[in-house]
Amino acid sequence: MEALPLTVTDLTRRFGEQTAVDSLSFSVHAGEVLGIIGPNGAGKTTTIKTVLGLLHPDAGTIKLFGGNPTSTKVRARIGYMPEHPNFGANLTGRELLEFVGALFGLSKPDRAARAQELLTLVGLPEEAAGKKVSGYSKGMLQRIGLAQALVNKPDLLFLDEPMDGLDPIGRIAMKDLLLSIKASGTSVVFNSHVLSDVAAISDRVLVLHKGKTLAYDTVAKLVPKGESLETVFLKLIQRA
Amino acid sequence: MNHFLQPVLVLAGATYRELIRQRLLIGIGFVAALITALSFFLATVSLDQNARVLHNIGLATITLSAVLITVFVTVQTIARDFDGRMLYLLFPKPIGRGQYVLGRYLGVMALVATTLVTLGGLFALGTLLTGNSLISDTLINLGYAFLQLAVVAAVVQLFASFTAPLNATLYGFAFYIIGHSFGSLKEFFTLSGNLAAANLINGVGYVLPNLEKFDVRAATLYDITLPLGGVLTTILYAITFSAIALLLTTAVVRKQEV
Repeated sequence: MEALPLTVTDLTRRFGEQTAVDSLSFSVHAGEVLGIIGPNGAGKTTTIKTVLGLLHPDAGTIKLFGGNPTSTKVRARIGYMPEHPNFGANLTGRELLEFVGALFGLSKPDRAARAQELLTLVGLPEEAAGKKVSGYSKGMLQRIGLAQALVNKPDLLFLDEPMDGLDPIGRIAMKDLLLSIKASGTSVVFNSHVLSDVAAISDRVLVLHKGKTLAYDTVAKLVPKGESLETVFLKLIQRA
Repeated sequence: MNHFLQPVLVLAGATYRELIRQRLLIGIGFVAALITALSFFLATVSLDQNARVLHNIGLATITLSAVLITVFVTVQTIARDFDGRMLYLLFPKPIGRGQYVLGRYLGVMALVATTLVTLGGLFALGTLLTGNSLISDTLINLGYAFLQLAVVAAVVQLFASFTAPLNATLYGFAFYIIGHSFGSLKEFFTLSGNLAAANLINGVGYVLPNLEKFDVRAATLYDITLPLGGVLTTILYAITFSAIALLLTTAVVRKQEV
């Protein structure tokens, strides 16, 4: 039996005196979407960055497909869309996707085809594909950010604030994209402040506050009938 | 392709493509071409010293321009990755920290080679057209300059991996100047009769890179044949120091968080 896409046990991460993530434990099953929510400074981004090996944990264990997050074999199976992306000032959108494809070992024709496929999927027109990424708007950056995270057809996708900075139309488009990714069977871990979207997309929700777990359950169990995730979230924060 | 080298070469290619589009490079290259052109003018007004003036000013300009480019682009490449969050793109991908360091380094070195070939090619062509053919001198000097810059780029990359861009740039130039001061210091202490200090400087020159080993302008000017053993030792010296600096950079980058 294959190991779970993600298992986090007693993860702790401190910045000086401040504990950003405190004994966090959760897991993600195959095909499951986990939404991480919490106020600013709750530890959402720190959790994702530590799981990815971008930050070193002070305590606890992280297993991605049963392996170490720094293993290149493990990394070949994941995708990551950062919160504030910087994809190189001199690359065009298409060049960026082809570069990422090359990093994953795709042949030249394969990466060209994959780049075109992804540009279409995220809705970046031909003229934007040939434009330098440094000239992209926030919405276009989010789209190319998602596209580069999908180049390797990941089994587990991490998205850090994918709705951030998008206008209502862009947000709806991003939500539809995430739902189609979920439908394809890809496991997803994402964080967002847009709680209605989190409720609509996620199978399970992890609520963080000051680095600690306030709640971790399926959306169905966490949100009683007639209530919204927003009201449940506010009650949890006020109680904490 | 080899699993280790594949992402290294992909990153090196991307680094080279990004660097070659930089305006800074065009600026430095233009100034270098201008000074080199000036050396041809100075050669025509010097009395019976055409070849010597061309040799000294032209080759020194090419080397110094390449040093400027090497230090600036190496620091910029690493600083942009760390400060500009470019590593959020790279490190979650299947590329190890050592592969990252080597890929960026090889990309910079490809740019250094392009700079030397372009400026050196224009200079050699100029010498040919003005009847002062210095093609073999140019080739030998450019080869040694490349070895020297391989060491400089590796050491500057190490500086850039743990300190601010301005500091790394200043340390890089300081390293270059100190690396060229061993011979002068040794000579000074020898002439002043302080043999212990002269021997110490000589010893330090083997621990820290002695960049004077890569300056063969005088030898080529006076047609002194460079012994094969010496050439091979210099190549080995450059490879060893570059490899040590790259290993140290990898150790630093492995500890870095982004």
